[in-house]
Amino acid sequence: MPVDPAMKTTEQNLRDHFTEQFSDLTQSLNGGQVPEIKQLRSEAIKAFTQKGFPQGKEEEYKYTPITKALLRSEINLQSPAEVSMIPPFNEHLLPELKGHILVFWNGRLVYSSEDFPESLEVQQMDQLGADREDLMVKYFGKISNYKKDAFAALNTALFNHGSLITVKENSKVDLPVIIYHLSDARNGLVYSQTRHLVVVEKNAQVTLVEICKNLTPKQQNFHNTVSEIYLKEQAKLQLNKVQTGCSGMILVDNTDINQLEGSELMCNTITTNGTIVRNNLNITIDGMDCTSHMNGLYLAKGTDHIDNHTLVDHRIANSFSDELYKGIIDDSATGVFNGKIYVQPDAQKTNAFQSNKNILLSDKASMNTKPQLEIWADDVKCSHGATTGQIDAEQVFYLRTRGLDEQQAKGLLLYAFATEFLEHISLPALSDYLEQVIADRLYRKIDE
Amino acid sequence: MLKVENLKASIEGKQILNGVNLSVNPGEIHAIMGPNGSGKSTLASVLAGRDSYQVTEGSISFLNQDLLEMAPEDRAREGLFLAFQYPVEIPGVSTTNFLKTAVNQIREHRGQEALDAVTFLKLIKEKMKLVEIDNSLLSRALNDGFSGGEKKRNEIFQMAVLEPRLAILDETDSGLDIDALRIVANGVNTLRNKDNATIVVTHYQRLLDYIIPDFVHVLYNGRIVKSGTKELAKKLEEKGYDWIRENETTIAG
Ligand SMILES: Nc1ncnc2c1ncn2[C@@H]1O[C@H](COP(=O)(O)OP(=O)(O)OP(=O)(O)O)[C@@H](O)[C@H]1O
Ligand SMILES: [Mg+2]
Repeated sequence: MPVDPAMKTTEQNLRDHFTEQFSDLTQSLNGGQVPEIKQLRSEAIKAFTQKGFPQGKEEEYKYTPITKALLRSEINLQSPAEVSMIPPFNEHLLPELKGHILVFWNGRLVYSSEDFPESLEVQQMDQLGADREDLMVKYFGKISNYKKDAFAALNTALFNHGSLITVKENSKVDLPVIIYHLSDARNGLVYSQTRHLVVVEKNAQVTLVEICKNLTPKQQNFHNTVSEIYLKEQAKLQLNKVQTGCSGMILVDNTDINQLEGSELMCNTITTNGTIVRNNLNITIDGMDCTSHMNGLYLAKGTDHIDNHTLVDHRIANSFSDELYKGIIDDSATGVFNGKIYVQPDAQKTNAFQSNKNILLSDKASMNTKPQLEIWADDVKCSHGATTGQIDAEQVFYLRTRGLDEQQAKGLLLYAFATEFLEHISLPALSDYLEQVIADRLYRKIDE
Repeated sequence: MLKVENLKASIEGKQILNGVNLSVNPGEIHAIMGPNGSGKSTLASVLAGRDSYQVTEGSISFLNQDLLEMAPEDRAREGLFLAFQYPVEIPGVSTTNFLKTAVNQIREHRGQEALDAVTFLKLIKEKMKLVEIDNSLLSRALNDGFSGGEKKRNEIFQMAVLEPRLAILDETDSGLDIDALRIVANGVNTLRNKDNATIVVTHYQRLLDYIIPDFVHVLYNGRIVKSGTKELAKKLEEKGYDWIRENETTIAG
């Protein structure tokens, strides 16, 4: 923090700090910037300066005190330094998971595969070719709402790194694109931002994996990432967000996805730790016959805090969305789920389903769940349900009468509850890894 | 093998068992009959160790151990098995999946080596044949969406795999079609030997044509008010419980 450490940092200090950072940044960014994006940045910082970080009363963040956590933390909020030496990162990648790999280290690209197929184009935000300008103007900042969300505003104003990924019309990228975000606070507590833009063109197909990891889990850091993803007509995307190494992180992930006619989305988000993790997943359905599946699994323990906010906005008729988020909350951890479904007047014949199921393992664990359906069309099928409870005692008793002890019975039930999530992941190497993470967590807890 | 003495148990402050006495020896088959709500499942649950019941008086010894002091899993490991009247649905856990853990827990308890995957599957196949159960049922989530009869058949399958010393079948015949009834009975008879025993809770004489009991008991108002041979079951089938009810009132009065 640039402020006097003897003084108590306030939200205003924090806000001023980023506003100042913005004026430094505008000087340092060279003339290569597209005017439209420059304009967007200054609008975003204006919005941020006015609005500031979410505070107590703000509805969208009322259960998730990120601002307080930021103020409490001693994260160095200076714009992260250039990476002078590429740190060894191989050991932090999933060895079995093959694909086109991008590795970001404290918000900066340190490695990129080079063998991209013809159907896949990947460029970096700070080195965009002139041929990408039209694309940027057309898509960048169009679905991420900096007016609504302070973290999106901050990212839009100050981003410097991230990838622009496009998948060509009528093509299928066979291997997944895997983006690692590694945070490393060994040389000081870290703040980083990344910004991605993904365009899956007509009838194209790709699988994305985003893996977020704190390499120094005992030390805090703040990662603020924004992704905008466009699925054009008949495009197919599987997006897997893997937040399984996020101990000590304050992680804010804004992902906005826009779907056009006939496109198919499968979005899987798993979070197994984090000081505070907040995922905002916003999907706008702007075409007929779209399918959107959203699956989530969160396992919170200690004092971790995991918050998933999702929004599906059905604007056009005849589409289908369904959502299943499950959580297991232990110790004094907190889970938050807020699922909004909007069905606009033109979105007749919409089918929209949502379900949130939670198991609390301790008296001090808490879960705030809020489904929010707003339906302005009359010919629709929508449903939602949320449950929060303990492990079913009848089920535990049944298994014990078969010879399993109480811990084994509970472990088996929790494992079964959690691993349903894996059915949606089409990459065996990833689902094997996640199965191990889940088993270690749920059975180890049981062994304690 | 099992000795229940003056067992009194209640749930949520309501007394259900009012002094049950029952003695079961190795090799025997006992049938327990009695009107709805008389406490048959309560007795079965107390034997299996369901902790929502409070035992207020009496004792149970099983293989010379104090059963009431034992956790449900230890009872199972010692060889007690309950086929539930209403088997619990467990989404996400298949029969094969949890039975492997169960079998190996029991084996470990007996000082036997754990079964490897291949041997376990062999065992499963063999028992599948015995109760004519389909593999697809065993790989589905336990009892989740099973028909009433499928659930019962699955209970007997588990019994066959776990080979208990004392099996308590709580209305396993209810909801079974005629063929399934024969299969289940055949399973019980095949597994029967001089060292194990079975308690069948049933409402129908029909099952007892297949599984021939050594003793028939009538549980009424939480007590065993009458015991006899298989002839007693026939009499009940003919005359219902009214005559016992009258007897009972005279005894009570
Ligand atoms: N949680 C409870 N609270 C109060 N009463 C209970 C509770 N559970 C069971 N009972 C009562 O205990 C009595 C005995 O029930 P139980 O299930 O043992 O009967 P049963 O003999 O097995 O009957 P059935 O032939 O219908 O299976 C019934 O009157 C039942 O309503
Ligand atoms: Mg009963």
